[in-house]
Amino acid sequence: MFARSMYLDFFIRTLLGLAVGLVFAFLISEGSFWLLPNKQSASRDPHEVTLVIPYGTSEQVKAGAYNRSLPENMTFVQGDVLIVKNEDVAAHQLGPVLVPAHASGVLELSQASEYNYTCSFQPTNRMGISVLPRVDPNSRVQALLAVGLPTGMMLAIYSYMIPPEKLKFLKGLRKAS
Amino acid sequence: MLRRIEFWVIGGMVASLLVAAAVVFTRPHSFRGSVIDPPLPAPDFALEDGSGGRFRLSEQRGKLVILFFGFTTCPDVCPTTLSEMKLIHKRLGTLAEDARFVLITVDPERDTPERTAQYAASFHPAFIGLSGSEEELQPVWKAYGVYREKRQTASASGYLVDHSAFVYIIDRNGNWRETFSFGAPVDDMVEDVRYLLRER
Repeated sequence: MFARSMYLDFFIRTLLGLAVGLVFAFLISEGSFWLLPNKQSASRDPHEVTLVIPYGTSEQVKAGAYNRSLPENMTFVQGDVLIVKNEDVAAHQLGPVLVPAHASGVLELSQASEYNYTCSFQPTNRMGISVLPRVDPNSRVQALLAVGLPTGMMLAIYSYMIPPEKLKFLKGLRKAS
Repeated sequence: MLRRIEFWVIGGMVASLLVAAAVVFTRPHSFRGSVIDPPLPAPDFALEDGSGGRFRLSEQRGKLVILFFGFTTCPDVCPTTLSEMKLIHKRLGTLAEDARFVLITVDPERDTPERTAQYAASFHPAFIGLSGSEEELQPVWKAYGVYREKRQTASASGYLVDHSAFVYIIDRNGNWRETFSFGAPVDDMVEDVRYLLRER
């Protein structure tokens, strides 16, 4: 009888510890996610982004007459695919993407980071690219478990040091069982 | 009864392993560099190889060509890239016999064919160094989108050449498949080159 109630005690404390740990992790992890400034774009699925370099661009850049309004900084999400279609007669470069004339260059943005690239079709010759880390449901669950499980176990281990007499609700549970 | 359970448990584990192996081995290769899509026939060129002969790209069908543009007095980017190419050569093992590692100069004023060939071979005896006159090289630079600009310095060498630093991968069929920018991980280049060398 004593052994049975000890096991029940142990089980309830572990379960409660894990529950509190997971709730705590949920609040921290989801709270941080909701504080993210770009949470909507960071949680979207990766997609393809196409940039077209029109015919005559190199000549216009040389003459200083190129005035197409491309933003100097573009934001992507990890896993996005950047496609640069070059319809010009000269090769063009956008950072790591070198595209020969009349061809397309494709690059998967697999690393989240801030890049400042050389760009042959921008009047400033520079282009900034931000690749945000992708926060998908999987990574949110992983974050929850990574924080929640160890925290819960730690709480459970600490709770084993509290004598059963001090936990009134355990008495009630024991009686009920 | 127990035997029947054992049969289903072991059978289930074997089936899961087979499914996992099928998923891993049938996954399409994902290129790490900047891919030319669809692949484009690589612009042909014929340049002096330092031994009195000419290296013509179109004669390399059946071999994969790893191409880089640099110069022999380059203080940083070129030796780094050629060292990485040496590492790729080593990591490919016997597959490297089907690859050509080529350096084309962006400084024909100082880099004679002999000097370029000698410089390339100092990284690996199989590396090929090519040069020619500025008139011969200009269309090659243009076709491969090579940026180059001489910059005067106070150093003994007089000037340096600022240049783009891409590594070009040309497959066995003479198609320009992808480029890697300076600083791309060697592991990525090895993976893609290995895949292209095994591609028939």
